[in-house]
Amino acid sequence: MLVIDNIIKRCFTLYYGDAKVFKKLYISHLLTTITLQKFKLFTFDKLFSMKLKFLFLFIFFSFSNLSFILAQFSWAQVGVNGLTCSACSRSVEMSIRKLSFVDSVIMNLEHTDGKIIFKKGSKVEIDKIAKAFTDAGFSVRSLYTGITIENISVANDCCWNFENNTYHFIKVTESKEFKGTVSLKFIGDKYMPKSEYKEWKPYLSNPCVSLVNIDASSSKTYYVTLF
Amino acid sequence: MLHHPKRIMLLYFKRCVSASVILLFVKSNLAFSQELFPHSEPASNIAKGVLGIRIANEGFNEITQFRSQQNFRFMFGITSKLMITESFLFSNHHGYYFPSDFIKQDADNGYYTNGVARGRENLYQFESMNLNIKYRFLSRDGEKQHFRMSGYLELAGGNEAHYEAEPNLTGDNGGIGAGITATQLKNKFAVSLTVGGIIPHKYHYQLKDSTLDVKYGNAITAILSFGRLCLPAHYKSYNQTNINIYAEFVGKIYGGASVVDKGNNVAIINFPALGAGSYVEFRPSVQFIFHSNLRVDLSVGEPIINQSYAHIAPMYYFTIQRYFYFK
Repeated sequence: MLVIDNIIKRCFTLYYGDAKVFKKLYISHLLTTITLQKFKLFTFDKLFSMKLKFLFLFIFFSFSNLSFILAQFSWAQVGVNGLTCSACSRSVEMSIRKLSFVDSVIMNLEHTDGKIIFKKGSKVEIDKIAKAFTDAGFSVRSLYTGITIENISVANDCCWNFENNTYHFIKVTESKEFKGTVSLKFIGDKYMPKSEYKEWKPYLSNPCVSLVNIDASSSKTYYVTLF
Repeated sequence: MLHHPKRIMLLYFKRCVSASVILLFVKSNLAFSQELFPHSEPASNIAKGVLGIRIANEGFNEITQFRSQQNFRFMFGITSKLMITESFLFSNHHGYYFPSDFIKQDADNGYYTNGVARGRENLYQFESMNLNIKYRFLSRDGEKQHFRMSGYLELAGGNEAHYEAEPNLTGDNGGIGAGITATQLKNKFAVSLTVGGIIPHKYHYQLKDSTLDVKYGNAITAILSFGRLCLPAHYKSYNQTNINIYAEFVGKIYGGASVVDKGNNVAIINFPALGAGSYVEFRPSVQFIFHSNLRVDLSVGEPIINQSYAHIAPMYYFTIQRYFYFK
């Protein structure tokens, strides 16, 4: 039992790279084992101990992201170019509302921007937000988000993995530790006018110098800066 | 005739629209402009996955007849840059056939045509359908402004026996059309210019054994549109009623109609309506948008240079449009 528990401990440490998270997961794992024993499944455990442990391991890995959220995108503020009429603004709003992770949208036609509130616990795809604006026939002038983070240390060209996406911090003048809600500005040709993007482009070629929670399965890289 | 209640009502309607457009253009000093032109399409498209349904009515008096046309139009955004429009048109403008003596032949003159009948009573019937594909290929968006360009291709299926050389792909003729639209929108003004061309199909003359066709003129069209938002002064909610005003200049240059036998011209039709021509019309409009969705346009049209033979001024327009959003 001890050997297998050690293997699980190592796996979790490798996967999360964080002892705090491991503690939470490990306690949860022990509770599950105890519960199973209560239901007299320990004979099963004896017979198929190895198989059952790996089954636990599989279940833990599958649901680990949902069980322990380190961070959560809470809102986005999007400036929209080319927007001039209320019927157009309504089309934009309807396009945003189609996104599964959006809870509510408030469009402001006076300032030609929109505030989006995300559903708690859902995975937010920033590129889908930008696409929803362009699908409605308009361009994104600026895109800011608020993200609530338990604890993160940010330095220039630091890369952070979250929900299978990599967030590459650029143009950070001094390294900072964050707790609570942080405002991020998204950098890219989808998130700003071309003229502004040209100014940011040189910063996008730098490689990551430090990695936080980095995961090989990361699908997209977003360039962000602190705002 | 002048005191006919319908005539008085239409005259009143025309004066109201013209007066309000002129007044609001002079007086308004607001920060938004509009590009939802009643008589032309802006370079911008409908949003992706959104369906727009428009019922456009137009009418004019032709001697004793009130001619009316209804255009049931369905618009859909395939992508943010590509939209498709399908129109189904019904009217009492023309019949499916010319009178049997419209084209005659004799030994001395060859083929020739008789005059045309105005004020003839026609059945209200299906006229044509029109498929329009529009692609936005340029967008220069800024805060509260944009410059956009798009190109369109339209295909129309219809075969009405009409007495005018002027081709019209929304009603009278089948054929093909294409053009380019440029729209500039900045603070107080929206300006749009659409330039296009029309190549109509030949109309097959109705006599069974006839090899004759009537070929209507090809045309170049141009529409210059100006638009402006009058109300609300400040946007607060989608429920505010928007009032927009437009001034549009619709122009067309077209070639004359001819009689064609197996592809060869056999007669040039000299009747004025069937000859080459050009005109420019001024069409002022007032537009109401309720709940940022239901659009109502009221408009009139008067010629300012020459005149169209395909319709008789003044023209009256009444349009309702609504967007449908899908989950």
